[in-house]
Amino acid sequence: MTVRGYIRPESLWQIVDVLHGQGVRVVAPTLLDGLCQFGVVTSSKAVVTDYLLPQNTYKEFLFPKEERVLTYIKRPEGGYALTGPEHDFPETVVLGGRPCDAAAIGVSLKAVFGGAKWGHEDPLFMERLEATTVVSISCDRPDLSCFCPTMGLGPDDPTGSDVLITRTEEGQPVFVLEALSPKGEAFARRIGDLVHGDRDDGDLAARRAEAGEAARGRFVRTFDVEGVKDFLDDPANFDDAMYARLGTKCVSCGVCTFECPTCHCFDLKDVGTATQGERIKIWDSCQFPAFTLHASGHQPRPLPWERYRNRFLCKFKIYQDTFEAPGCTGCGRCVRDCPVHVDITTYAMRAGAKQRKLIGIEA
Amino acid sequence: MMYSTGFQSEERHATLADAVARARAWLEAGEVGMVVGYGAQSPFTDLTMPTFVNDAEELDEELLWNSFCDYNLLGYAEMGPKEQAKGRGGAAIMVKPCELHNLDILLEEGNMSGVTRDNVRPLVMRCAGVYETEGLNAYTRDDAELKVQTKCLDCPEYLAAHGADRVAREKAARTDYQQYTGRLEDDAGVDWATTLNKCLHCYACRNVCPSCYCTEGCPADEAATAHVTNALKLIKGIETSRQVVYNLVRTWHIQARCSECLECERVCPVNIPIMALKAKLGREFAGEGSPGDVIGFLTSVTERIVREGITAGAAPEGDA
Repeated sequence: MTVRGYIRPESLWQIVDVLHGQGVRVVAPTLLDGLCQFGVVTSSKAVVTDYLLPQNTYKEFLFPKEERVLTYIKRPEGGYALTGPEHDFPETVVLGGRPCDAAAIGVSLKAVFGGAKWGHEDPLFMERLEATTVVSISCDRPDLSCFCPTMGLGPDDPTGSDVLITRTEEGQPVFVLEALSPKGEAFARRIGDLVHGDRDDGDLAARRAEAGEAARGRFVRTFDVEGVKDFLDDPANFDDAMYARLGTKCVSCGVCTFECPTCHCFDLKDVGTATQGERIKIWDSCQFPAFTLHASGHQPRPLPWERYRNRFLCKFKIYQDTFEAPGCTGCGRCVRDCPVHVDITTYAMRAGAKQRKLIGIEA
Repeated sequence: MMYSTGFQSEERHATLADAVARARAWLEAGEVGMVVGYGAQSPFTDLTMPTFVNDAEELDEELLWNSFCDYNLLGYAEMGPKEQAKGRGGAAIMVKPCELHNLDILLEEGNMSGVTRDNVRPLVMRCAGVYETEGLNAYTRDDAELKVQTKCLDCPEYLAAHGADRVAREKAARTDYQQYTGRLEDDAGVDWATTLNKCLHCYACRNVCPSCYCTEGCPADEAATAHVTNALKLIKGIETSRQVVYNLVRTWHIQARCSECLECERVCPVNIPIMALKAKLGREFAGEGSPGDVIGFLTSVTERIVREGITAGAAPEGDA
């Protein structure tokens, strides 16, 4: 246990005011266009306190929707002059993210952009991650789309967080603060006066563990995740009838990929003329018809269901195989916000061997 | 806009059993090869997911009809021409009465959409309103808090089902309805430059829109909007974004071909008030000096959005 003490419920969001006063950029759940979304806040008054999961993920503060990576200009004497634009990496605290997002960004996206496994590092993402302290708050009321325990995480899982704050349930509720990294320790010192109690308080640790256990018991959605990986590892199942049957429903938009905390695909585009312009890096989605479209005109995944199969494979197989990190952390955004309510867990339920027996696909 | 394609008088099915019986007859007679309907999503929620049935035996088990059938299945109208091309007649599609207008539009533009009276057969369901499904996955749900979509409050079927008193009460109580209708009249409170720049380019609005049936060559496509954005900068000196261009081009393109089924607003992950944008473009175009010059008009709107942000109430410029 790494308990540092507790915060009184009424002073939890005062953290925003304290940090803002110290010149730190704070990203927290706030109301934008009638939706609870992660945004930059400058006061505790702007924070939405009653929320489960903001619509967007805070990946956009580390991996922006669109950013310039270089500008080019043709030199009179021939050739091009390339300049890398100045990027700034402001010190940032993400406050109020959930453990699913923390694991997705701190482990999965870090595995992709850090390049430990495959050797290509994205310095923009890594610099921003370095400047960011992730202060997660454990969930106590998951909804019917949440399934993080199935993915090996949980409503109080510390993976990827620098600080985890958990609300106790029994008796007078308090928010127990755990510092999980040197950045987390620094954060705890920064908000100093808001933290009470003792780091060796065994009672606090026990109440925090109880709260996590109680929250875990509230999850409903689940499937056989090992069975899914076994199913996907067998090449014979690549042409399983379920892909076309379920995938034809997909309308090929990018909502699931853009809201997903582990989706990381981007495109590089040159915008300008032959003499000057810029190269931009923008989010891309495997659900779009132009994704993987070859210069020859060949498209290996021409149909929406083939592209959705790719997404399913990526989440439950390719991500693990390529980056040794989870491709899905069970946040449930793709289930909640699909325009036609396509549900990735219905694929998973059909693919997992145990469920296949249960629903009568296999003996 | 009035259409004379006759779908409005299509028979309404009071129960799912009636619709299933009709669909079965069509399937068995080979008049349709596929039934597009609402089916169960997962064992965990009440939400529905589109389902495609080829086998008459599966109809009873697969199809559903209730107030959680929120989306517009005419986004799958292309199934009709596709089935016809395979020699299997066409497709039967479950539709709500409010969506018949979409079918009229698709038929009117049949030379492009491919829809004919033969290859798309509507299974029109009598409808008592469909729920807003956003947030419906809450762990505990109080059924008393379920609310119908804003479009239902203006629907004659909903009025017939629930009576004028209740509809008037709901309209008075629903701030989202008032905000929606208010914005159609007057978008003074909307900062368009900021609002449109939130667009994620996810294409959900386009892909669920029954009037957006093209499969390629969309003028609102990423590549096309990137070129327009670039051209505006190089030729006109207007620094705008692909997001602004995308929304203006797409909204303009469906301007006269929109049934206001509100699917685009329902699916938008960043809540862009697309219908308010459509109403605004309609108003401003009506006030333009040279209504033939669409490109000039869109350029001037873009310029005003970029330069002034909030442009509502601004006098439309003369010849662009």
